[in-house]
Amino acid sequence: MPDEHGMSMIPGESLLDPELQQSVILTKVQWVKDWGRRHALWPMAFGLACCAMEMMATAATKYDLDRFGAGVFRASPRQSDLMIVAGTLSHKMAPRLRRLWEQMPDPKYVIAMGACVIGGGPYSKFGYHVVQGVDLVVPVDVYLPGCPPRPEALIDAIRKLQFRIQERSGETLPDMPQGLPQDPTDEDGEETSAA
Amino acid sequence: MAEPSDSPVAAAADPVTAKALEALQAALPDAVVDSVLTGQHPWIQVRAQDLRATCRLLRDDPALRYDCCHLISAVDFPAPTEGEPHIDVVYHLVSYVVRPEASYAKRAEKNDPFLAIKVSLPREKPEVPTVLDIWIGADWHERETWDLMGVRFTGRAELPRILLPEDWPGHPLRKDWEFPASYHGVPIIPPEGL
Repeated sequence: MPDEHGMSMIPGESLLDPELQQSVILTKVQWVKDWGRRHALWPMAFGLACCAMEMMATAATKYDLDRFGAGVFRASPRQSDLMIVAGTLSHKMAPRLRRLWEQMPDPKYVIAMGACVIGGGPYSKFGYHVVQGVDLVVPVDVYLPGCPPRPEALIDAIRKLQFRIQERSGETLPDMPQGLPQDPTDEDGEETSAA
Repeated sequence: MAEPSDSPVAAAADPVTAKALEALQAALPDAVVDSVLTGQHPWIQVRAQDLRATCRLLRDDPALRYDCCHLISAVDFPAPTEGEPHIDVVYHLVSYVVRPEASYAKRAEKNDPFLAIKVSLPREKPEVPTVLDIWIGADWHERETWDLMGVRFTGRAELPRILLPEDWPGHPLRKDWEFPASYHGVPIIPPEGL
Protein backbone atom coordinates (compact mmCIF):
# COMPACT_ATOMS: atom_id res chain seq x y z
CA MET A 1 0.00 0.00 0.00
CA PRO A 2 1.47 3.40 -0.90
CA ASP A 3 1.06 5.86 1.94
CA GLU A 4 -0.20 9.42 1.53
CA HIS A 5 3.19 10.58 0.25
CA GLY A 6 3.35 8.07 -2.57
CA MET A 7 5.97 5.94 -0.85
CA SER A 8 5.29 2.26 -1.02
CA MET A 9 5.26 0.73 2.41
CA ILE A 10 6.27 -2.64 0.99
CA PRO A 11 8.83 -2.60 -1.83
CA GLY A 12 8.12 -5.25 -4.43
CA GLU A 13 4.55 -5.50 -3.27
CA SER A 14 3.01 -5.86 -6.70
CA LEU A 15 5.12 -8.93 -7.49
CA LEU A 16 3.58 -10.89 -4.68
CA ASP A 17 0.83 -13.35 -4.97
CA PRO A 18 -2.34 -11.79 -3.45
CA GLU A 19 -2.64 -14.63 -0.97
CA LEU A 20 0.99 -14.34 0.06
CA GLN A 21 0.45 -10.63 0.82
CA GLN A 22 -1.77 -11.64 3.71
CA SER A 23 1.00 -13.44 5.55
CA VAL A 24 4.43 -12.27 4.28
CA ILE A 25 6.05 -8.81 4.36
CA LEU A 26 8.96 -8.17 2.04
CA THR A 27 11.20 -5.16 2.62
CA LYS A 28 14.81 -3.98 2.61
CA VAL A 29 16.94 -3.74 5.71
CA GLN A 30 17.95 -0.20 4.74
CA TRP A 31 14.31 0.80 4.43
CA VAL A 32 13.49 -0.53 7.88
CA LYS A 33 16.51 1.18 9.35
CA ASP A 34 15.49 4.52 7.88
CA TRP A 35 11.90 3.95 8.94
CA GLY A 36 13.05 3.56 12.52
CA ARG A 37 15.45 6.42 12.21
CA ARG A 38 12.93 8.90 10.92
CA HIS A 39 10.44 8.12 13.64
CA ALA A 40 12.99 8.37 16.45
CA LEU A 41 14.91 11.58 15.77
CA TRP A 42 16.71 12.68 18.91
CA PRO A 43 17.29 16.42 18.63
CA MET A 44 20.19 18.11 20.25
CA ALA A 45 19.08 21.21 22.14
CA PHE A 46 21.06 23.92 20.41
CA GLY A 47 19.15 27.03 21.42
CA LEU A 48 21.22 30.14 20.77
CA ALA A 49 18.63 32.93 20.96
CA CYS A 50 14.90 33.64 20.84
CA CYS A 51 14.13 30.83 18.35
CA ALA A 52 14.93 28.46 21.20
CA MET A 53 11.76 29.66 22.95
CA GLU A 54 9.70 28.40 20.03
CA MET A 55 11.71 25.19 20.01
CA MET A 56 10.88 24.70 23.70
CA ALA A 57 7.22 25.50 23.04
CA THR A 58 7.22 22.88 20.29
CA ALA A 59 8.50 20.27 22.70
CA ALA A 60 6.05 21.26 25.44
CA THR A 61 2.53 20.05 26.06
CA LYS A 62 0.52 22.07 23.59
CA TYR A 63 2.45 21.13 20.44
CA ASP A 64 3.96 17.93 21.82
CA LEU A 65 6.82 17.08 19.52
CA ASP A 66 6.80 13.56 20.95
CA ARG A 67 3.88 12.78 18.66
CA PHE A 68 6.42 12.77 15.83
CA GLY A 69 9.04 10.84 17.73
CA ALA A 70 11.35 13.84 17.94
CA GLY A 71 10.72 15.09 21.45
CA VAL A 72 13.67 13.53 23.26
CA PHE A 73 15.94 16.57 23.50
CA ARG A 74 19.45 15.56 24.47
CA ALA A 75 22.07 17.70 26.15
CA SER A 76 24.90 15.69 24.59
CA PRO A 77 25.83 15.54 20.91
CA ARG A 78 26.84 11.90 21.27
CA GLN A 79 23.26 10.86 21.94
CA SER A 80 21.55 12.90 19.24
CA ASP A 81 21.17 12.69 15.49
CA LEU A 82 19.38 15.97 14.75
CA MET A 83 20.78 19.40 15.47
CA ILE A 84 18.14 22.14 15.51
CA VAL A 85 20.23 25.29 15.32
CA ALA A 86 17.80 27.80 16.81
CA GLY A 87 18.96 31.38 17.14
CA THR A 88 21.69 33.82 16.19
CA LEU A 89 25.00 32.12 15.47
CA SER A 90 27.96 34.36 16.27
CA HIS A 91 31.49 33.95 14.96
CA LYS A 92 32.61 33.14 18.48
CA MET A 93 30.12 30.27 18.65
CA ALA A 94 30.70 28.88 15.14
CA PRO A 95 33.78 26.73 15.95
CA ARG A 96 31.95 25.27 18.96
CA LEU A 97 28.92 24.45 16.83
CA ARG A 98 31.14 22.78 14.27
CA ARG A 99 32.86 20.78 16.96
CA LEU A 100 29.59 19.60 18.53
CA TRP A 101 28.31 18.66 15.09
CA GLU A 102 31.43 16.60 14.53
CA GLN A 103 30.81 14.78 17.80
CA MET A 104 27.37 13.64 16.69
CA PRO A 105 27.31 10.09 15.35
CA ASP A 106 26.40 9.50 11.71
CA PRO A 107 23.87 9.74 10.22
CA LYS A 108 23.16 13.25 11.45
CA TYR A 109 20.87 16.00 10.29
CA VAL A 110 20.70 19.77 10.72
CA ILE A 111 17.65 22.04 10.72
CA ALA A 112 18.50 25.73 10.30
CA MET A 113 15.75 27.40 12.31
CA GLY A 114 15.03 31.09 11.86
CA ALA A 115 16.25 33.97 9.73
CA CYS A 116 19.54 34.47 11.62
CA VAL A 117 20.70 30.91 11.06
CA ILE A 118 19.64 30.85 7.41
CA GLY A 119 21.48 33.99 6.32
CA GLY A 120 22.29 36.28 9.24
CA GLY A 121 18.77 37.72 9.46
CA PRO A 122 18.61 41.31 10.69
CA TYR A 123 22.35 41.16 11.47
CA SER A 124 23.29 40.03 7.99
CA LYS A 125 24.40 43.41 6.68
CA PHE A 126 25.91 45.35 9.57
CA GLY A 127 26.24 42.78 12.32
CA TYR A 128 29.97 42.18 12.44
CA HIS A 129 29.63 39.27 14.85
CA VAL A 130 26.97 37.09 13.16
CA VAL A 131 27.75 34.22 10.80
CA GLN A 132 25.87 34.85 7.55
CA GLY A 133 24.28 31.44 7.40
CA VAL A 134 24.96 28.27 9.36
CA ASP A 135 25.48 26.43 6.06
CA LEU A 136 28.91 28.10 5.98
CA VAL A 137 29.79 25.96 9.00
CA VAL A 138 27.81 22.71 8.76
CA PRO A 139 25.68 21.16 5.98
CA VAL A 140 21.98 21.94 6.39
CA ASP A 141 19.13 19.56 5.54
CA VAL A 142 16.07 21.75 6.11
CA TYR A 143 15.88 25.55 6.11
CA LEU A 144 13.08 26.91 8.28
CA PRO A 145 12.44 30.65 7.74
CA GLY A 146 10.70 32.92 10.21
CA CYS A 147 11.62 35.36 12.93
CA PRO A 148 11.04 33.28 14.91
CA PRO A 149 9.16 30.42 13.20
CA ARG A 150 6.04 29.23 14.98
CA PRO A 151 5.95 25.75 16.54
CA GLU A 152 3.76 24.54 13.67
CA ALA A 153 6.53 25.53 11.28
CA LEU A 154 9.14 23.61 13.27
CA ILE A 155 6.88 20.54 13.26
CA ASP A 156 6.56 20.96 9.49
CA ALA A 157 10.34 21.15 9.16
CA ILE A 158 10.78 17.98 11.18
CA ARG A 159 8.15 16.20 9.05
CA LYS A 160 9.96 17.35 5.91
CA LEU A 161 13.19 16.00 7.31
CA GLN A 162 11.52 12.69 8.08
CA PHE A 163 10.29 12.35 4.49
CA ARG A 164 13.69 13.34 3.24
CA ILE A 165 15.36 10.64 5.34
CA GLN A 166 13.08 8.03 3.79
CA GLU A 167 13.34 9.38 0.25
CA ARG A 168 17.10 9.46 0.40
CA SER A 169 17.32 6.02 1.95
CA GLY A 170 20.69 4.49 1.25
CA GLU A 171 22.23 7.61 -0.34
CA THR A 172 25.64 8.84 0.67
CA LEU A 173 26.02 11.84 2.95
CA PRO A 174 26.19 15.35 1.43
CA ASP A 175 29.50 17.04 0.78
CA MET A 176 31.15 18.97 3.57
CA PRO A 177 31.17 22.75 3.20
CA GLN A 178 34.43 24.44 2.31
CA GLY A 179 36.38 26.41 4.88
CA LEU A 180 36.19 24.60 8.17
CA PRO A 181 36.47 26.82 11.23
CA GLN A 182 39.23 26.02 13.67
CA ASP A 183 38.53 26.21 17.36
CA PRO A 184 40.83 28.93 18.75
CA THR A 185 40.27 27.86 22.34
CA ASP A 186 41.34 24.27 21.86
CA GLU A 187 43.59 23.98 24.86
CA ASP A 188 44.20 20.26 24.99
CA GLY A 189 45.79 20.29 21.56
CA GLU A 190 43.35 17.92 19.91
CA GLU A 191 42.83 18.04 16.19
CA THR A 192 39.45 19.70 15.75
CA SER A 193 39.09 19.97 12.00
CA ALA A 194 37.31 17.32 9.99
CA ALA A 195 39.37 14.91 7.96
CA MET B 1 14.40 63.29 20.34
CA ALA B 2 13.01 66.56 21.59
CA GLU B 3 15.17 69.63 21.79
CA PRO B 4 16.34 70.37 25.34
CA SER B 5 14.48 73.68 25.29
CA ASP B 6 11.13 71.88 24.78
CA SER B 7 11.57 69.89 27.94
CA PRO B 8 10.24 71.27 31.23
CA VAL B 9 13.45 70.04 32.85
CA ALA B 10 15.61 72.09 30.55
CA ALA B 11 14.62 75.48 31.83
CA ALA B 12 16.70 75.33 35.01
CA ALA B 13 19.86 73.55 35.93
CA ASP B 14 19.42 70.56 38.15
CA PRO B 15 20.36 71.60 41.74
CA VAL B 16 22.31 68.47 42.64
CA THR B 17 24.27 68.60 39.40
CA ALA B 18 24.96 72.29 39.94
CA LYS B 19 26.22 71.42 43.41
CA ALA B 20 28.48 68.78 41.88
CA LEU B 21 29.93 71.31 39.44
CA GLU B 22 30.50 73.81 42.25
CA ALA B 23 32.28 71.25 44.37
CA LEU B 24 34.43 70.24 41.39
CA GLN B 25 35.39 73.79 40.58
CA ALA B 26 36.26 74.48 44.20
CA ALA B 27 38.40 71.37 44.65
CA LEU B 28 39.93 71.08 41.16
CA PRO B 29 39.90 74.55 39.59
CA ASP B 30 41.49 73.49 36.26
CA ALA B 31 39.69 70.19 35.80
CA VAL B 32 36.38 71.23 34.26
CA VAL B 33 36.59 71.84 30.50
CA ASP B 34 32.92 72.23 29.61
CA SER B 35 29.51 71.51 31.08
CA VAL B 36 25.79 71.51 30.35
CA LEU B 37 23.64 71.28 33.46
CA THR B 38 20.14 71.27 31.97
CA GLY B 39 18.08 68.45 30.54
CA GLN B 40 17.55 64.86 31.62
CA HIS B 41 21.20 63.98 31.13
CA PRO B 42 23.46 66.85 32.22
CA TRP B 43 27.17 66.41 31.62
CA ILE B 44 30.50 67.79 32.82
CA GLN B 45 33.61 67.37 30.72
CA VAL B 46 36.91 67.12 32.62
CA ARG B 47 40.55 66.67 31.63
CA ALA B 48 41.68 63.06 31.41
CA GLN B 49 44.41 63.52 34.04
CA ASP B 50 41.81 64.83 36.53
CA LEU B 51 39.32 62.03 35.97
CA ARG B 52 40.22 59.93 38.98
CA ALA B 53 40.27 62.92 41.35
CA THR B 54 36.89 63.99 39.93
CA CYS B 55 35.37 60.55 40.40
CA ARG B 56 36.68 60.25 43.95
CA LEU B 57 35.26 63.62 44.84
CA LEU B 58 31.86 62.85 43.33
CA ARG B 59 31.70 59.53 45.15
CA ASP B 60 32.92 60.73 48.55
CA ASP B 61 31.35 64.20 48.85
CA PRO B 62 28.60 63.77 51.50
CA ALA B 63 26.19 66.02 49.60
CA LEU B 64 26.65 64.19 46.27
CA ARG B 65 27.50 60.54 46.98
CA TYR B 66 27.52 59.27 43.40
CA ASP B 67 27.89 55.69 44.56
CA CYS B 68 27.11 53.85 41.33
CA CYS B 69 28.83 53.92 37.96
CA HIS B 70 25.78 53.09 35.93
CA LEU B 71 27.44 52.82 32.53
CA ILE B 72 30.63 53.63 30.68
CA SER B 73 30.30 54.35 27.00
CA ALA B 74 32.50 55.85 24.31
CA VAL B 75 31.87 57.96 21.22
CA ASP B 76 34.17 57.92 18.21
CA PHE B 77 34.85 61.18 16.35
CA PRO B 78 37.17 60.29 13.45
CA ALA B 79 36.55 63.58 11.60
CA PRO B 80 35.01 66.19 13.91
CA THR B 81 33.91 69.58 12.54
CA GLU B 82 36.45 71.25 14.82
CA GLY B 83 39.52 70.00 16.62
CA GLU B 84 41.56 66.82 16.33
CA PRO B 85 40.06 63.34 15.86
CA HIS B 86 39.15 62.12 19.32
CA ILE B 87 37.25 59.53 21.30
CA ASP B 88 35.02 60.64 24.17
CA VAL B 89 34.55 58.32 27.12
CA VAL B 90 31.36 59.00 29.04
CA TYR B 91 30.77 57.89 32.64
CA HIS B 92 27.09 57.80 33.61
CA LEU B 93 26.78 58.20 37.36
CA VAL B 94 23.87 57.61 39.73
CA SER B 95 23.48 58.33 43.42
CA TYR B 96 21.32 55.82 45.21
CA VAL B 97 21.89 57.69 48.46
CA VAL B 98 20.80 61.19 47.48
CA ARG B 99 18.30 59.97 44.86
CA PRO B 100 17.10 56.48 45.66
CA GLU B 101 14.78 56.08 42.65
CA ALA B 102 16.21 53.26 40.62
CA SER B 103 14.28 53.25 37.38
CA TYR B 104 14.95 55.66 34.56
CA ALA B 105 11.23 56.38 34.13
CA LYS B 106 10.77 57.32 37.77
CA ARG B 107 13.82 59.55 37.63
CA ALA B 108 12.40 61.31 34.60
CA GLU B 109 9.09 61.75 36.41
CA LYS B 110 10.77 63.38 39.39
CA ASN B 111 13.30 65.32 37.30
CA ASP B 112 16.12 63.32 38.84
CA PRO B 113 18.73 63.24 36.11
CA PHE B 114 21.75 61.02 35.65
CA LEU B 115 25.11 62.77 35.62
CA ALA B 116 27.55 62.16 32.78
CA ILE B 117 31.27 62.82 33.18
CA LYS B 118 33.06 63.08 29.85
CA VAL B 119 36.73 62.88 28.97
CA SER B 120 38.13 63.49 25.51
CA LEU B 121 41.07 61.34 24.39
CA PRO B 122 43.34 61.51 21.33
CA ARG B 123 42.16 59.00 18.75
CA GLU B 124 45.60 57.54 17.97
CA LYS B 125 46.24 56.52 21.56
CA PRO B 126 43.07 56.60 23.67
CA GLU B 127 44.23 55.93 27.22
CA VAL B 128 42.44 56.81 30.40
CA PRO B 129 43.12 55.80 34.02
CA THR B 130 40.83 53.13 35.39
CA VAL B 131 38.09 53.84 37.93
CA LEU B 132 37.88 50.19 38.94
CA ASP B 133 39.05 50.87 42.49
CA ILE B 134 36.47 53.66 42.86
CA TRP B 135 33.45 51.76 41.55
CA ILE B 136 33.94 47.99 41.34
CA GLY B 137 31.01 47.85 38.95
CA ALA B 138 33.07 49.68 36.34
CA ASP B 139 34.97 46.47 35.59
CA TRP B 140 32.77 45.00 32.87
CA HIS B 141 32.00 48.43 31.41
CA GLU B 142 35.71 49.15 30.98
CA ARG B 143 36.25 45.77 29.39
CA GLU B 144 33.35 46.36 27.01
CA THR B 145 34.64 49.80 26.07
CA TRP B 146 38.06 48.30 25.36
CA ASP B 147 36.51 45.41 23.43
CA LEU B 148 34.32 47.44 21.10
CA MET B 149 35.99 50.88 20.96
CA GLY B 150 39.62 50.18 21.75
CA VAL B 151 39.96 52.55 24.69
CA ARG B 152 42.83 51.40 26.88
CA PHE B 153 42.19 51.69 30.63
CA THR B 154 45.49 51.98 32.47
CA GLY B 155 46.31 51.09 36.04
CA ARG B 156 44.32 47.87 36.26
CA ALA B 157 45.85 44.42 36.38
CA GLU B 158 44.43 43.12 33.13
CA LEU B 159 42.03 44.28 30.46
CA PRO B 160 40.65 41.26 28.59
CA ARG B 161 37.90 41.49 26.01
CA ILE B 162 34.43 40.79 27.37
CA LEU B 163 32.28 39.79 24.38
CA LEU B 164 34.40 39.13 21.31
CA PRO B 165 36.97 36.33 21.04
CA GLU B 166 40.51 37.23 22.10
CA ASP B 167 41.88 36.97 18.54
CA TRP B 168 39.22 39.20 16.98
CA PRO B 169 40.76 41.77 14.60
CA GLY B 170 40.40 45.34 15.86
CA HIS B 171 37.58 47.08 17.68
CA PRO B 172 34.40 46.92 15.62
CA LEU B 173 32.52 50.00 16.86
CA ARG B 174 35.28 52.31 15.61
CA LYS B 175 33.91 54.16 12.60
CA ASP B 176 36.86 53.16 10.41
CA TRP B 177 36.83 49.48 11.37
CA GLU B 178 36.91 47.21 8.34
CA PHE B 179 35.23 43.84 8.02
CA PRO B 180 37.75 41.00 7.75
CA ALA B 181 37.39 38.74 4.69
CA SER B 182 36.82 35.75 6.91
CA TYR B 183 37.07 34.64 10.51
CA HIS B 184 38.43 31.15 11.20
CA GLY B 185 37.44 29.96 7.75
CA VAL B 186 33.91 31.36 7.79
CA PRO B 187 33.62 34.01 5.07
CA ILE B 188 32.14 37.44 5.89
CA ILE B 189 30.36 39.47 3.21
CA PRO B 190 30.96 43.14 4.10
CA PRO B 191 28.06 45.61 3.78
CA GLU B 192 28.02 47.74 0.64
CA GLY B 193 28.42 51.48 0.71
CA LEU B 194 29.72 51.71 4.23
